[in-house]
Amino acid sequence: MKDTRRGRAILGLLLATALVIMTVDHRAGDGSPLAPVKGAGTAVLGGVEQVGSGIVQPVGRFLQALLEAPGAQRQIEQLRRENDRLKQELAAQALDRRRSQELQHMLGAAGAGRYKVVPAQVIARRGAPGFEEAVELDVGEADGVRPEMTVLNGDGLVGRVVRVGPSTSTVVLISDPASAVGGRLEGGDEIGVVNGAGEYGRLLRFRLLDSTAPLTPGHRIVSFGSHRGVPYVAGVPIGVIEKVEATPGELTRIAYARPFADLTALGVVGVVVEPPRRDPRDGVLPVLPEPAAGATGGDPNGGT
Amino acid sequence: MAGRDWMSLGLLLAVMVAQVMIVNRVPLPWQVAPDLALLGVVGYALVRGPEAGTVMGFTAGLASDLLPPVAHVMGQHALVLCLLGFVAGRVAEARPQAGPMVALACAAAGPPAMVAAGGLLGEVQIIPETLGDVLPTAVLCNMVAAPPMVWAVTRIVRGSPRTVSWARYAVRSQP
Repeated sequence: MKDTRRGRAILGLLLATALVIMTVDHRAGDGSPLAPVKGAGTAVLGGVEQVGSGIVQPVGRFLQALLEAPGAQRQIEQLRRENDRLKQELAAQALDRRRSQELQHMLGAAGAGRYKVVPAQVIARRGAPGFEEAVELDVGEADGVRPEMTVLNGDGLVGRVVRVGPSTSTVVLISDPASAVGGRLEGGDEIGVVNGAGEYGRLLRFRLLDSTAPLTPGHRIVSFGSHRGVPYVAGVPIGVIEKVEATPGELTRIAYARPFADLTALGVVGVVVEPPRRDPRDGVLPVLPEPAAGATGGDPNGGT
Repeated sequence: MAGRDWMSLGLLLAVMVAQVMIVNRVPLPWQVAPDLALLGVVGYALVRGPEAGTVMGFTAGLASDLLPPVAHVMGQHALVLCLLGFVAGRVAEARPQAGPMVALACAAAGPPAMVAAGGLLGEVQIIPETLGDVLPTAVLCNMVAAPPMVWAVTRIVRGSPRTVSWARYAVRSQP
């Protein structure tokens, strides 16, 4: 019985310690007295992860190849077909180049985002999908990365930097239920909030603040941007609305969007170290395929 | 702490690093991965009893709270693993035959406990979709991974059979 009492005392003591640590860390936020401990943890363990990633990556690639082998053959076929189609299109585009140059001149800065980006590789990922979505990048303070910077990849918005170590940094993905991104509907000024929907990173929840604004599947969302581009710069593509929830009588409307960036399989991403001097608006969105082109013409009711 | 305990802690750390670097990034169906650190602590507590289990759970949990990438409050995993280590050790001590069942129960209790600990401070936004889809798959995944993982951990912690019989003899010979 003596042993049990001692065991209980130890349990009580450690539980209390854990609760105190949690409370202090939660209340104090960034100025927490635990920040040096966390910083040291990030520096040491992040370093270990970075060294290990060189060894682990070939193994991971091999496993991935095994798991994806059945789909790969089909994908090769598909890519070959797409390649042929693109070759044809390329030939046709040479003819349109002159027109395109004039158009580009007219559109001015809208051609591209003009972000200054530091490329990075994802080296570790935190589990519990739907509750906590975070990845570790192999760039850190030495590369100019600071907390509250935007992270994106070639397809769209990925997340924001929350903690930076000497050579690694932690990124919370936009599919994390606790993250909130200001979003703007393409071709208008309707704004809303994007949260993770807990669907393993495949869907995002978009809450449109104006319930009377038109909102249909196929609409695309770009980031609204915050003051001085912290933590999200403006104009980064976020996703495409997939379904709209009917919420009659409510002040906001809820829709679900598929993110442009594949958040379940991240490889190379970029950290925006310098926001664009002016909001690129919809300029970074991919060009729509022919049949849907009418929807971008500034008349969102055109389709309905 | 004896040398064996430090070795166990080192192994557990290696398992955690392997978890964030390899296991979580393997594209498994449904995007879930078992929580190997939790299973390791449970296996350790089954062999070494509640006191050692509690201490190991707390230490391993704190390490897990520091291991990047983290997006939760520090101390959250320490709380959960410390509690599970105690429970696993306590029940296994009272009923030595129930080891496998205890391991399974603890593996199943892990994800809900993590979510509850996050909910204590309002860090985790609990939404119905996550409770409905993700939690059951996470629990199931943990339970599937529990038997082999816990078996391996108990084998390592116990050491070779010769060491065990020697240890038993040493314990019995004490007054």
